[in-house]
Amino acid sequence: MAKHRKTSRRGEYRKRVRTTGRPASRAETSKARPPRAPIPGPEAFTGLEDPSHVRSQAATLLLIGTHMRGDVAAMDARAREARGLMRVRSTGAAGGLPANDMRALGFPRMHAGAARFLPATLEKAAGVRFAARPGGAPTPSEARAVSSRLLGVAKAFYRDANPETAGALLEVSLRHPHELVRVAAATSYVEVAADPARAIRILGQGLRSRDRLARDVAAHALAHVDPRNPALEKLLASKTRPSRRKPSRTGMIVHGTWAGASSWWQPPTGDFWKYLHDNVDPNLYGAQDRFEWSGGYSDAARALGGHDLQAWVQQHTLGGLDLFTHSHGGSVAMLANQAGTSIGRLVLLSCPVHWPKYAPDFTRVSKVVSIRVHVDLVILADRGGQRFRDNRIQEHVLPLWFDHFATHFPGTWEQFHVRSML
Amino acid sequence: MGPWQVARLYALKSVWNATGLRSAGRALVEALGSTDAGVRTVAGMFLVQSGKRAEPLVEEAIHRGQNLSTVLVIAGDIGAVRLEPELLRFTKDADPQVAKAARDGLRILAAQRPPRGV
Repeated sequence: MAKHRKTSRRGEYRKRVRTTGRPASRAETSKARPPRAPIPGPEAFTGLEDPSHVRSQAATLLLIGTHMRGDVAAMDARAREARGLMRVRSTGAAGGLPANDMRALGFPRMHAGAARFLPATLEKAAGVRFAARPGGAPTPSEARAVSSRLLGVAKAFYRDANPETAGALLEVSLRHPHELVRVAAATSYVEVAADPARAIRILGQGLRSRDRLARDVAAHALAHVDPRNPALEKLLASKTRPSRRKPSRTGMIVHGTWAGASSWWQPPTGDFWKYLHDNVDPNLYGAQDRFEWSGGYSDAARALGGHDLQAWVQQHTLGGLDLFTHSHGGSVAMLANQAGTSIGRLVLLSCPVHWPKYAPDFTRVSKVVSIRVHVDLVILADRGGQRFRDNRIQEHVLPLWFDHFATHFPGTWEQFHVRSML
Repeated sequence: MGPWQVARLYALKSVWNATGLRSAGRALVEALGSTDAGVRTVAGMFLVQSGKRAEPLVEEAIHRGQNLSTVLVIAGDIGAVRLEPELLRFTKDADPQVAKAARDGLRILAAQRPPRGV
């Protein structure tokens, strides 16, 4: 014990030397710049507040977890497979983690095992007994115990890295004065402890931390260990505040396949956008954050587009807006509509028919108008149908042939009075 | 785009699918850079409709830097998981359109991946 006290004094001395004269508060630490280099080996466990020490400790404790879970072995196997398959030069990665980083951190060669320990066993291994289960910030007596025992258990771990010495280091670190280290310890603790309840408690508290890094580590860990934790659900709830503006009557263009980069639909200079804005709908959406999707040619791409359109409409509180869609942009709009987006007028220009996969939800749309040409060649190539057969969709076939894109030409709209068909 | 252009693309697709003649497939990839939006669209559709068969052509186009803003999305559409590292590389491309196409391709790829445990 005397030896540990000596170590502790040395640790305290180093702490004083390395900090700027007063211990950094948690909030200060969270804003501190990331340390330039980690502190290697047990040396990392000599300071309790200095950001370099704190982050090196957290990294070491998290690495214990990755070794215990077997992530390292899995990553190693994946790296070997990738090297074999892709004939890429080895980057010198050890265990799938950059070898240089592992060396810089001085992480020891660790023998992983499936052993699980009771907290009392780990406390015994750490040579300390805590009065209460770990929770939030440590009590003064716990802080003293951590200060006196941390370096000792760290040294034992570096001397012989095995599940028991790792468990003892984690047990002491659960009462660390710095929340990031507590959260990191709790993340790995579930791999060595017989009962994860105490770790889950610390992770749950970590979600409310003012330190963003601690919060993120806690959220990731909790998602793995206890995905149904109510604290996580709160975190997942959307924080986007809906706008208080009244829903306004407006319109928007949704482009079709491969047309994301085309200029015709882009505000404020695209020829079709300008035509609609000046002649059909002066409220046509023209801000820089207009909706755009990938334009990919697959069900998955359209499904993502529909999902994104729904989110966009919700975020802008524009439920009930008119949509002028071209080609599979119509399919995207119909998917968003099926998912709950209310639409005013849905204008389908040269939309391939894939019924019922892409169909409007007629309870959430005021009017559906389809405008097309005769024997659209692109729709032929798409293997889609050329006409909608549902009488709730108004079909207009222009006296034009083959041209899939003619329906968004301003000249076509003028010549055939398309405006009057809406 | 006239009917003969569609017929030509259809012929290229048929020859490529039936015989595996790479030059026919390459002509479809080249058509992705056409100034005619119809030709571009149909060529892309035919490539995606060919599914995994298009993967080597898409890979080749990516390596050549040919029509990147389209082929990176096609890689996602055809579920070319093998090209994921290439797509990742292009997410940091200096051309914002290419970087966006790579991100879109990756997203589409992820959306097509079966859920874990299936």
